[in-house]
Amino acid sequence: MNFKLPEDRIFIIPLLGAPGIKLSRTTLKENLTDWSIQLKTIRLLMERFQPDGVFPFKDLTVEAEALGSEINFPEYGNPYVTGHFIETEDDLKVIQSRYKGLSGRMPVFIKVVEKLAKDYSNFSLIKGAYAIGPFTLAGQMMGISKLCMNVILNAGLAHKLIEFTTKVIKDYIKAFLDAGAEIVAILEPSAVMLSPDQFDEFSGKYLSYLVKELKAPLILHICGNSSHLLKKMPHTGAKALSLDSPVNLKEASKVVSEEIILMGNLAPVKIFLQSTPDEVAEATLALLDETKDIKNFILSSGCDIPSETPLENIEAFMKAGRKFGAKTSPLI
Amino acid sequence: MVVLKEISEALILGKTKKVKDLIDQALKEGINPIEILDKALIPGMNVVGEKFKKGEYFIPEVLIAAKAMNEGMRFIKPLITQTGAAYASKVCIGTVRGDIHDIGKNLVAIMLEGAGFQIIDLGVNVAPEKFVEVAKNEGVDIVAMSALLTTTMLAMREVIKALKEAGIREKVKVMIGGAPVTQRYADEIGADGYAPDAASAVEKAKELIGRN
Repeated sequence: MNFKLPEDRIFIIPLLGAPGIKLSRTTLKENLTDWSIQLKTIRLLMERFQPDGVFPFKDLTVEAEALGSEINFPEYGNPYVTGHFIETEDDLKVIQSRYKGLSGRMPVFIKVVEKLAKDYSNFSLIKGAYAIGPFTLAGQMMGISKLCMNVILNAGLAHKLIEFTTKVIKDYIKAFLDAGAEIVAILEPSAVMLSPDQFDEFSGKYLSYLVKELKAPLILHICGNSSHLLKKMPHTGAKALSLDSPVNLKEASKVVSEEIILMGNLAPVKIFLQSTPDEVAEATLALLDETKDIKNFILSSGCDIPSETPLENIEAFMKAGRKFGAKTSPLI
Repeated sequence: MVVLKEISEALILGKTKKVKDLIDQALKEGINPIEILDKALIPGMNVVGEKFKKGEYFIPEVLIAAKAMNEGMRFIKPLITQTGAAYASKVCIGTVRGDIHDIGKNLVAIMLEGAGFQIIDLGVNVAPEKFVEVAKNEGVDIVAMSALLTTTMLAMREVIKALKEAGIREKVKVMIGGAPVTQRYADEIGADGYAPDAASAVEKAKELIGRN
C-alpha cells in the first residue's frame, strides 16, 4: 500500500477520541466497550472538527486484556492493567498456550474501524487504527519496571516475551487492515525509557519485523521526549513518526529523512487542555511556522487529547491550521 | 576506606549482590552504617542521577542502580535506627488515583530516603482520602504526588482540595511531578513545588522544608 500526502494542503489530524464523549454524552467506558456507541461518538467528532484522518478511540489495555491481564475500568477514566505479571519463562508459556487469536474487546475496535472505513470511503481521509507497541505490551505483561531491568539482567527472557507480544500485535493489525484501515499507528510509549541501542534491540527490531510482515504503512508514536531515539526510529521502516510535544520538530526534521512523515505536536495538556482558544490558535500558527520547511508533515497533537479539553480549543486548532494550510476540508 | 568507594562503584553499575557483600565487609571493618549511607550509597546514587541527566544512563540502568540502593538501605537501616539517628522530615508519597505508573514515584522515594527523609510510600492508585488520612495521622511534612497520564494528573487538584477540607493544607507542603506535569499546572492547582526529575525533587523537598 502506498499513499502520499497531497501537496496543496496540510493534513490536520489531532489525536481525538476522548473529547468526543462530550458530544455524544456518553462515558469513556461506554465508548471503549460498545462499538455502536464509539462509532456514534467518532462520527460526531468528524462532523464537528472535520479532520483529515479518522481513527477509533485510543485504548492501551485492549491487547493486554485479550491476553488475560486484569484491567481496572473506571466509568469516567481510562482503563489500566492491574496485574497478571509474567515473571518466568513458564508463566510466559502458559499465556502463550492460551492465546487463540483475537479476543476480548479487540472485535469492538475492529468493528469501529470497519464501519468508519465504509463511512468515509469516498473522502480523501486517512483511515487509521491504533495498536500497542511490542515493548509496551511486554511491559504490561511483566510489569514495566521488571521489563526495564530485564533489558539488562535477563535479556533472553525479555526477548522471548517481546517476540510473543509482537505476534499478538501482528494478528491484531492484520485484522484492522482486513477491515479497511489504510494505516496503523503503533503506540509504543514505554520505549521512551530506553537508550538508543536498547530501543533498537528491544523495540525497533520488532517494529521493523511488523513493517516487513504486514507490508502496510505504520505510524510510530512514542510519548514524551523521544529526541534521543530520532536517529533510530526511521530504521523501523515506519511511514510516519508521531512525536510528542517535548520534541522539537524542526530539529527532528534535520535527523529524519524527508521521505518519512513527521506528525505532531501541539501540547495536549499545556495547550489543548489548559489554554484559551486564542492561545491555542497562536500556538498552532507558531508550530506551523516552525514546521513550514518540513516536506512531509501532518499537523497533530503531541499525544492523546484529554477528555476534559474544551471543544472550542480543538476548534481553534483546526481553524488556525486550515487558515495556514488547507484550502478546504476534505469532508465538504 | 577503599571499600566505601567500591560500594559506590558497584551501586552505580547496579550490582545488588556486590553492594550487599561490600556493605557486609565494611561493617566488619568497623565502619559506621551512617558513614556507609553518607559516603557510599548517597554519593553513588547522585552519580546515577547525574548520568541520567547527561543522557549517559537511561531508565533500565537507573532502575537496577536504584534496586541496589534499596537493598543496601534495607540492610543498613535497622543498624542506623539502633544508633539513634533521627530522620529530618516525613514525606508521604504516592501515584494518584487512576494511575498505576510508579517508576518515577519509586525513584523519587529512594532519592528522598537517601537524602535523609522518612518515607511513607502509599503506592499507586492512591485515593485523595488516603493522602489526607496519612498526612493527618502520621504528621507528615510533605505530601508528594506523581502522575504519568494527562488524564490522571487532574486528580492532584482533588487531593489539594481534600487537604483543605480536612483543615490541614497549611500544615503540609505539597509537591507534584510526572511527565505531563508542569510548573504552570502546579501553580494553577496551588501546589507548593514541582520538580521535573528525581534529583531535582530532592532539592525541591529540601527547599520546601527550609533545609537549603
